[in-house]
Amino acid sequence: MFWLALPLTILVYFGFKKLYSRLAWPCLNPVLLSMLSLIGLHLVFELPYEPYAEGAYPLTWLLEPAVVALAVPLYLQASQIRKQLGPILLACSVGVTLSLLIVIPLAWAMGGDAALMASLAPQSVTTPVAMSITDSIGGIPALTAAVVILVGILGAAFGLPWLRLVGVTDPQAQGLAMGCAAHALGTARAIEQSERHGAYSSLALILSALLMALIAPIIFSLYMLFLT
Amino acid sequence: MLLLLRAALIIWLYLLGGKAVAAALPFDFPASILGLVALFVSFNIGIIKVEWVKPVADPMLTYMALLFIPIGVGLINYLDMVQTHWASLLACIVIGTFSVMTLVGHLFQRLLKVN
Repeated sequence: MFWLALPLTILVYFGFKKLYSRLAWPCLNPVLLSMLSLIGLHLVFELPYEPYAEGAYPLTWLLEPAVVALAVPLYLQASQIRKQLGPILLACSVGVTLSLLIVIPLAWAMGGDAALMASLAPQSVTTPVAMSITDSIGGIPALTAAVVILVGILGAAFGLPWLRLVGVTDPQAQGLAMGCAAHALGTARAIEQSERHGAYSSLALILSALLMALIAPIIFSLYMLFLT
Repeated sequence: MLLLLRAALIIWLYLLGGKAVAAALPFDFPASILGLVALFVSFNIGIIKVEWVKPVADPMLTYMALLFIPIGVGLINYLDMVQTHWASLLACIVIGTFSVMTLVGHLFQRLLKVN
């Protein structure tokens, strides 16, 4: 799988991208389908993940520089963003707080213990931040890593059609919502839509990560006081 | 070719800078986001021109989604955990994500109209 990993991933992705461009159904999201088919392939042939991960490492390696490159759309839209900093900050703070107010009690109501609640709490922000928050409030970072990716896939595949469905039509609001709810994967989808979507999503990605790191430990400890 | 090289070098240097700062911070924060912020500030104060970075940044961002696939395939390592807690995970992920999206989208859309 080591040598096949890179060409196979690229081939599968562009294949599904072509299919998606013909049909444009959100559930045919190329990233979602590529992940599912590659996971399926590993399960069917009982392949270990590590050789694939090592072979596909050039792609993973490019993720960090790609996040740095998000400075470009952010800068190109900066003059507009500067005038809206207050509303942007307010919307992201409310979004992060709401996420915690929904996720923690929901995990508790579903019979989750403190570790599960802590692992799910920061689910909407980018992986490294989410994992370190989880770690600091007593969760399982590996579980958080899985949950964060699932949130990102869901948001990237269904975020834009959902936003249109509920009446959010403004590209700036759509971008901000994608970045706030579905971090870097949502942002990768937003940037495909337009530069403006990408800029607002990048900004929400950054602000939400910072706000989550500040707010999550406070809300989580308040919950633990009440629930235990 | 030289233009591509310059663009790649700038992005890489900002990432390295981000890594240096991240290592010095007393808490965990992604080096890539620190690099993003530093590059954004550099554009604004004019040390770096956005055109210098675009030759690499544009194609990279166009295919950014592709870069997440190997990490997503890594979910197979967590299948046990996902299977054990699947109901809570499903509820939190679906309800959490769509509520946050709806609220942030509507709130910001309304704030834009008011301003």
